[in-house]
Amino acid sequence: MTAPARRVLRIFAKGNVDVRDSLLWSRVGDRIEWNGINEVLRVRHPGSIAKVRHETCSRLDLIPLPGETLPAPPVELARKLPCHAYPADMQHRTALFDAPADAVVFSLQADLLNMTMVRHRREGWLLLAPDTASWDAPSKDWLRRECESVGPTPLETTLGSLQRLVPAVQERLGAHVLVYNLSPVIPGERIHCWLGADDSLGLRVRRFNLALAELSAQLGFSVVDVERIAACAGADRIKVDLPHLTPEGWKLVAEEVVRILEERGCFDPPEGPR
Amino acid sequence: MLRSAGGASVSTLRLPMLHASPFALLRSGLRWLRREGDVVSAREPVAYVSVALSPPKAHTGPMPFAEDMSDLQVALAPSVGGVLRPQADLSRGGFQDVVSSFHWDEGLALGTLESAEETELFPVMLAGRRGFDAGEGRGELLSGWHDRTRAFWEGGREGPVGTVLSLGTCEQTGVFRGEDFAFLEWFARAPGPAQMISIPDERTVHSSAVLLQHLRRTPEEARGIAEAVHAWIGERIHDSAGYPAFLAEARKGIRRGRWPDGQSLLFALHLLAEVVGASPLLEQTELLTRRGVVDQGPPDVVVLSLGSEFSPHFRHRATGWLIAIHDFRLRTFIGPALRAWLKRDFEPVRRTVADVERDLGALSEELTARTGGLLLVQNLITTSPGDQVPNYSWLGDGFAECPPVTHGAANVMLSGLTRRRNLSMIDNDALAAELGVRLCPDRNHAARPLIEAQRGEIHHILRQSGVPGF
Repeated sequence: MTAPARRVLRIFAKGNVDVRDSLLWSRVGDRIEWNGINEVLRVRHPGSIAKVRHETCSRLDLIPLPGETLPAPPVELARKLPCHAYPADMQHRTALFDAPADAVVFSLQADLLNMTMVRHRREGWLLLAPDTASWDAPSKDWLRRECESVGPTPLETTLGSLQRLVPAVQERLGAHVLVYNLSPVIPGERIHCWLGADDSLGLRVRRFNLALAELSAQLGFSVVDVERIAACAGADRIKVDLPHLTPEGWKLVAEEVVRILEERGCFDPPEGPR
Repeated sequence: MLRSAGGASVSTLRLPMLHASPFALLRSGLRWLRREGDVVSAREPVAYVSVALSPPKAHTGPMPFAEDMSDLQVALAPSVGGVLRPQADLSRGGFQDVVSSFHWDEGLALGTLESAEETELFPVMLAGRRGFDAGEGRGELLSGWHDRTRAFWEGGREGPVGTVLSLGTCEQTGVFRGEDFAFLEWFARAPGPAQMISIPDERTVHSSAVLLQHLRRTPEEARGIAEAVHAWIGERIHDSAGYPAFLAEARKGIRRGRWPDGQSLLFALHLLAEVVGASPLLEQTELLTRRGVVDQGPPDVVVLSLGSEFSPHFRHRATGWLIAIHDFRLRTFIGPALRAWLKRDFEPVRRTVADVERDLGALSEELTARTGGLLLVQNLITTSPGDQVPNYSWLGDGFAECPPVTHGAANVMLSGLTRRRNLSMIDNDALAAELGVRLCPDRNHAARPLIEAQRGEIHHILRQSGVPGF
């Protein structure tokens, strides 16, 4: 007797802490506190597993389409720069279109929170330079001399990136597209008047979330509504800070991803021979 | 006066000083809110009385509190916590505890409080202006149908009085009037002297457009509106189509005396009452104090709901008169005749987020110029546990009406407006998200923890803004 074939769902997750901690694992110290989407599938769809391939994302407009080459730092330079989780020689490349996928997951998080994007003054390429305080002195000097900060990603840039990426994924891979939004609640922050102040991060997140909903109406991708999930469960309970949720929070997000994939028919029984 | 009783200190609770000279201040018998032996907190009312003013002989002029006299009360709260020992014979029961037939005998001993420190009783003035003078309901604190309720306390302090006016929708009732509907949660937290006023949205919803038009209305415009309302009422009075049938049914003892057209006529008259009356933003009030009756200027702070802006608005075709009525009231709370009038003589006004931004900005400017008052607006809760729309393209044309989107866009607009105008925002959306929107499943009617958080946030803003008494 042969065991029934397992259904394997191929998910390509292009994003940072939100997609990794909800879909793959969430680690606190040495301890795995949440073991990803397969924990949900084990209960809800025992015959299915998800194979999640994860890539970090420095910014959505730095994901090239097939055949496209984005302006990037020279390889020798890129290999030397201590960009930690965002290797400089990988920031302008992706394996997204290299293999088939059933679902592709993006997130607004990189565009909302990666505030240390710089532009090379002469050559114009972009580079995410995270945690520069820990960089060695020559790298810091080079950064100061050669690059300038580009500030937060404009909303229009993010929308333009998704308008480019979503149809490409749908056409090239035939995959479902899911995009995470972000909960704007920063535990403890309560601004009632912005007179003379810059946008708070929470307000910026609200603007991006709204625009994402509008884009979803146009392009038909699914929004993983982290804002709603946090609000329903209580952000005080499941949020640690702006991007980080508790293990319970990541579980709720993973459950929402599975619910969306269910609605999109990813777990429907295969059609038999007629 | 403190005396020691077996290690505990005992203060006598005395009727505090209040004056209304040259008018005599009368009170009813005491209605106790707490019982013998109860442990009460500081500033927790333990009893209340109805009060009234009696004119001196030969007085012919206007009386203070003319609009509030039917429902004027004073609640009494100790300044410190302790164990209550009420004096039994001060409550007469029945109507003796409702009508004001005793003199306000300042210093009268009402009972004692076993407490750590000496205490005094703080009076809290409660005043309800009835929507309909014959509509009596004097069961509890500020009970009955009122088109304006207010509370004022000095809290044993002297100085300028801060006045806050709540003009929002039902989400503000819990925040301002509180669970006792008598503003006592505010008395407990704001030292005073302070006044809270609440004007409900039963007649017209107080959107910025409605308020702005009221502020700017000329006597000629008000007369034109009054004539239009009178003309329609005249039509209804002369149209007796339903009347004989009603009489026939009434003779059989059914319908219990309810005249459907009467609901519509009363509603129209009450809409008119707002038009010909003072704008709530300018309205002055009278306060009962230790020094006598004091006139108080217009509110220092006006609190609105962003939700009011999106309730159905109607513009009278001939006069331009703008009203806003909640959709649930249109369905069940007004008569068919009024609905027909709205359809015939009014046009619906659809307001966009940009319209609301313009009107809120203009209202804030006008308020600053006229009274120097601050506008405080509660934003909208965007999320509901029932929302599960991962793919907005499935909504089709419904996308534009989807609350997470419409509320979210309005909130972002309001945040931007606070940068440019004399206007502050209460971030209800963030508060609900922090505590969990299950505390407010329909986005409007919240449970206690969220209401307390909203109240705390408003109090924080009042203090930061330097409003006296808070």
